Amino acid sequence: MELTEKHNEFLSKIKELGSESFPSLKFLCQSINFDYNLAKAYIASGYLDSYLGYEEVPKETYIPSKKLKSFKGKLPPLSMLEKIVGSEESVDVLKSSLDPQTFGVAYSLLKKENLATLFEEGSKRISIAPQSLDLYLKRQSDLENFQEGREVKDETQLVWLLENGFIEKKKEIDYSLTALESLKTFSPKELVNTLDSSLISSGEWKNVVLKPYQIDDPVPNLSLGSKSFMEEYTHLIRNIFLDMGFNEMEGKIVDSSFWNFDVLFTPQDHPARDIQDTFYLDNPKKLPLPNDQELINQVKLEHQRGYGSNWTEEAASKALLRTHTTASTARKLYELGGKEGKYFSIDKVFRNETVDRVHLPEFHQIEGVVIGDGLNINDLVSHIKYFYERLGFEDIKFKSTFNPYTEPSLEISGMHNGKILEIGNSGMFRQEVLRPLKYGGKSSIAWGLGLERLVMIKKGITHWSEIIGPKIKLADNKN
Amino acid sequence: MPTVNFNLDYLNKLANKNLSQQEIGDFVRDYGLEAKVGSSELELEVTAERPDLLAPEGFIRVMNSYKFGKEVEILDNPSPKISIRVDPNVSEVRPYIGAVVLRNVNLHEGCLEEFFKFQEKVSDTFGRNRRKAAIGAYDFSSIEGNISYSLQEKSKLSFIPLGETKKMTIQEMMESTQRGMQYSAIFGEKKFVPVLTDQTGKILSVPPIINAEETKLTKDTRDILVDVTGISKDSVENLLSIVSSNFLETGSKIESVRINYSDREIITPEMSPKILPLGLDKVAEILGKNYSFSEAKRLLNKMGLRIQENGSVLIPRYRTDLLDDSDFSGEILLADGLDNLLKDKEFIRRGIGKSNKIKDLEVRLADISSRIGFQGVANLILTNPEDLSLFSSDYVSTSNPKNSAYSVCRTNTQISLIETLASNLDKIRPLNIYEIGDVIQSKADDFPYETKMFGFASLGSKSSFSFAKSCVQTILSQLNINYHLENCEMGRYIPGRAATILLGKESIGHFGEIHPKILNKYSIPDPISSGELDLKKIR
Repeated sequence: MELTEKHNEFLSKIKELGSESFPSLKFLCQSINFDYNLAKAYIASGYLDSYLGYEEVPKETYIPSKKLKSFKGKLPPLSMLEKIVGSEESVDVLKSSLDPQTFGVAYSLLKKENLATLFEEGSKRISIAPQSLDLYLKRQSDLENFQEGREVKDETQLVWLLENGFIEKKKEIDYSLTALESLKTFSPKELVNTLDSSLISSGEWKNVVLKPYQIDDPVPNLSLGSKSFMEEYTHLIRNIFLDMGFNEMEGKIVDSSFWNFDVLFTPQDHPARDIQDTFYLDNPKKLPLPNDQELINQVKLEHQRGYGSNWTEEAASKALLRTHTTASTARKLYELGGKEGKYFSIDKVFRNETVDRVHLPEFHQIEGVVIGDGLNINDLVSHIKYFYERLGFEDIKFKSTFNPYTEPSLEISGMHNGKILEIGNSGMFRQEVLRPLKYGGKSSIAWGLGLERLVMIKKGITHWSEIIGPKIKLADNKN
Repeated sequence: MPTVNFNLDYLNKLANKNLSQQEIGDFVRDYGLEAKVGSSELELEVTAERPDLLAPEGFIRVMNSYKFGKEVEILDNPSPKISIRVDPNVSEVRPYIGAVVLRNVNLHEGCLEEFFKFQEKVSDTFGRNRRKAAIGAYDFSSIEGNISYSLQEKSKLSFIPLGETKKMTIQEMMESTQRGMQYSAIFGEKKFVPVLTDQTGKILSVPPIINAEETKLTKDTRDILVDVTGISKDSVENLLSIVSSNFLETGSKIESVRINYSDREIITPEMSPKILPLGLDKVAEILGKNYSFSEAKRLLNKMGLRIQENGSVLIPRYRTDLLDDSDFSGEILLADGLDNLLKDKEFIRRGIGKSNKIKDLEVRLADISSRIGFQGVANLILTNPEDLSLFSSDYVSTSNPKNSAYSVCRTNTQISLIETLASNLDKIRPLNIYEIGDVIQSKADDFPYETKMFGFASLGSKSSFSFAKSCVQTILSQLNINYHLENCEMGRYIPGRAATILLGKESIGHFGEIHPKILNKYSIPDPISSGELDLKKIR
């Protein structure tokens, strides 16, 4: 245990006295002007055991009584004797200069020792024995000595004071101290809170004591830097795709209906194009179609052939927020102009949905696509199984479904934590999509899933606002 | 996706069987449909491409062929008994019409209710809320002679609309009846609207809004006239074929109707199948399995399709979704079943993919930011215009949002970061967060500038210009980017306490102390220092 500043002060003062033993801690404290109670606590705590030996000394001491206090510390006979000049005085005079109680007590005490006599000489008078004043001056002086705790040699007066109730006995434990050898070499050190560079470099640290800490005192946590859950999974999935040999592609969030729907063989009056499902834009309202009339004509032709519908460039120019990243895939295929390849993206898509616990107006779509020759449905399945198994899903199953731009189309389900969940959609692009993009006769496989849903499944989250948006609970550095 | 409910008793009556819930459920799953089978009802999800499945008759038809091996009949077109004269004036408003007469109909035992449900559903979905195509049905016995389809002035003609008791003009019908108010928008403010009348001049209906009360169907109706009107020729024809086929399933007979346009004459409905060639090579390429002609024939039969000896597929008119070999592959896949078809094939890894440089930078920035003690957050691009206007005056906005809180595209990430901090004021400061996300900056009538922005923000009494500068300095030195600073006067910052970060002459970002007017707006009691880097510009 390191000593405190106050401990050091106490030890230093004892050391300065140079003595080896001290019969009374109480007197010692008076002489060095140190708080007695504090010193007792130090002794009792054992903190100073390596410097001081001690023994308990039970003691009787005397303290002024209540009675004495009621006479303001002065013995009543003395008060009376001081009023009397010579050897006698009139009772009336005494009564008028002393209060009645003081007079009564004073008279009865003096009378008891035959030091006062009452007599009548016209009026009542009191005569006093000549030795009385000296006797009471002595008693008063002894009394004051007790009060100051001094030693008293003549105990006769002590007995009188006790018998007459001016002092009371009190039992007290004092200590006798012995200065041990180690006190001679004791050197008090300064107590320091912070170890600063001047203490270190000057070597001054040797002469100070670094203040100890209470090890159970509370402290705040460190603020922990972290990636968001979304980033964690984006990076993970990206690495899986790159490792599978897929190149990363990018597209546009704000795009024309042409790339989002028309190229993907979605008829211009298809329900998915309704304002119920798609965010159309006010600013910008329209976007330019690609500067490639042949492409536009080809797309138009596919629509007319497939749906017999009245296809217009105006409807294709409507600006929107991409509803799927397949719009970006179509742009990528157009850019590649017929070359085979494997591509992926993890990007935002938008749905004009009513927002609730699991429905967001925008989310990330993960999409993988392979285009080339001779790909069949088994290639689709093998890619998808590998991909989802790496994401930790088991028992990957497929089910036929419908998409306007793929045929066949398969819905993907898989097992996670014992539950079978729908985890994605897949298919092979229709020739109506591939032909205008210069991939006529080629084959493709493609699949996609929502990142947010995946993260919610993986992290066991039930409301998207726990991972996305301003209501996210930031990690707290409170304890 | 539309959902329809079929009464199980009615389905059993159609199938002439006692189908168990299990049987129906198994079929639905094998056929690739989504459905809930209850004790008295089947709730089926139907995609836009299969309007034939919106009717219980269509559902039982596919179940009969898929599950019970019943071959579909090849139909011929019956000869017409009556005609509809089409006035050329309808061509501007609702140009196409087709019709059929159904004889010996039995509308008892739930048939009438199921028909009304189908009529509503198919007109709303396939018919795009009746605008593109819609069905009308009449008690044929209330019609006299041939029919006329023409435009009439809506304030002139009067009739008793369906469900009403007194005579009113078409105009009054549109303004006062429920159907009138619901669908009159199809014609906008037009003075003339299409009307079907019989030889006596009696109004049969105002398609696609409402019938006349007098022509309405009851359970005892034996003969029905059905018309389909619309603005898409294909949709009108296909829908009429679907209705006619459905009634054939119930045992009715059909009679054609001659439609006399001013320049041509056609007979409706078209019931003879569409013929498309089948390429078994192509099917093998897609499905990875060679099918013999007889196998293909068996499987396509199961899907309700017939193959001729010359390899052509006969497609009933109600199947509007089959266009080429990829569709036939899809049909064969369903018929064969995925379990029979899919072969175990190993995915073979070849080489490493090429990553996108901006996404690489995202990963690095996320890494650096988390190492310097920032927490990553993820926010939406869509936000509300009121908050966004604190930061930008020009932005991409949607025209039809369901909720204005998600109606405009953010131009920066700081708006999201500040809102995130404002929602976390109960936390001990400093709060240091970052986001790497998409932002969109509007350009008039052209594709906007889209980029990934790295944004950071720090909330706390010591969040100062200097702290933001330290962040930028640390991050950019990690990326080995040499930059210089200039005073920045963006409104979001306190004047004199912000800087633009320049790479050569190009601004790549900015940082500073967020202006107290913004802090007040979000009721944030402590300073925020914040900044942003444009990933497209620092790559």
